[in-house]
Amino acid sequence: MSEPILIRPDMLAIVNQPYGRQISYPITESDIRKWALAVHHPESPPAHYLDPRAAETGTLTAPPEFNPFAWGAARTEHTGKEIPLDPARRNLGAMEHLLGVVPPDLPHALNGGISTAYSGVPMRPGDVITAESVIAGYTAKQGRLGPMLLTETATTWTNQRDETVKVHRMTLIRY
Amino acid sequence: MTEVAPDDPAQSAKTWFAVGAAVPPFVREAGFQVWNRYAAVNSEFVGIHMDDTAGRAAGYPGAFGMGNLLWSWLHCALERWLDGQGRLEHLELRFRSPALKGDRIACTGIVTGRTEKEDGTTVLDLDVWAENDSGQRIAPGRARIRLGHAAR
Repeated sequence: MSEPILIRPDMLAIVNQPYGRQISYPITESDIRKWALAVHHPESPPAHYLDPRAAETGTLTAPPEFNPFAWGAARTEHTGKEIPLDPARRNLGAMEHLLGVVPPDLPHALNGGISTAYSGVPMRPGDVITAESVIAGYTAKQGRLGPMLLTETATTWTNQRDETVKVHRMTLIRY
Repeated sequence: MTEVAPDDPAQSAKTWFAVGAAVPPFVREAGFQVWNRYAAVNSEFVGIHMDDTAGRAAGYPGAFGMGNLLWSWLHCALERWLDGQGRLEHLELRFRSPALKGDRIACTGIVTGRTEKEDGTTVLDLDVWAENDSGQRIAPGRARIRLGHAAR
């Protein structure tokens, strides 16, 4: 039986093309505090996350992995090439449809790995973050669960002063 | 839950950050108590993390934890270890196996390299990982840390 072709020419044609640009709502103290409480549960986070003076004095910074886009973006700039996504493919991390390409017909998705380069510019209350993403590449593999498509995405985050906060790479495994 | 505070007065900064030094484990029990809180802040309400049926359909024994939460826990471990004496420049993790309900996950690491830079800072390279009760490294990776002048 022949292996399915997981990486199609139309998918390769969109590698390195920006597929999404999002601008966050301004980060709030509460966003940062709730994030720290959630990831440290059941123990308390380090004291500075809970200290109201840290916010007042401007010394409160978000944990580096904090996600200001979790509950949506203030603005999303579209590519103008979008096609509808099959509802059955929602929550599978597909992004190809944003560039007018039908996502691969694979029913499951996992987060295969993350790699982030931090610039040293922290996120603070009031910051507005812009995230721009590209598909950095595709790899096909045979895994325990069958044929697998690995998609590497790269997202660059900048703040309102156009300072780079981080470059975040993720490997999405679809199978 | 065991955590070692990084402010042991007997530990000099040099020893604390020497090659071979271990990052004190950040230990959490996987399950809905932590997954639901993480889903709430990261809006990560995905069936495989909420529903055993969805987890089984994906080829696992039941619902399982988010890779992103292991990622956060590793950041917590490093932040507590650094205690403001350095900053994370790079972190990467590969998610090999999921954290299943009831697993006791320890996020830790070890310093594998230490380079003094001309600008007076010190760069540390680390192997980092999340491991389960069986000692299986379910998410291995690497980190690079830059220590400030005071922490050398």
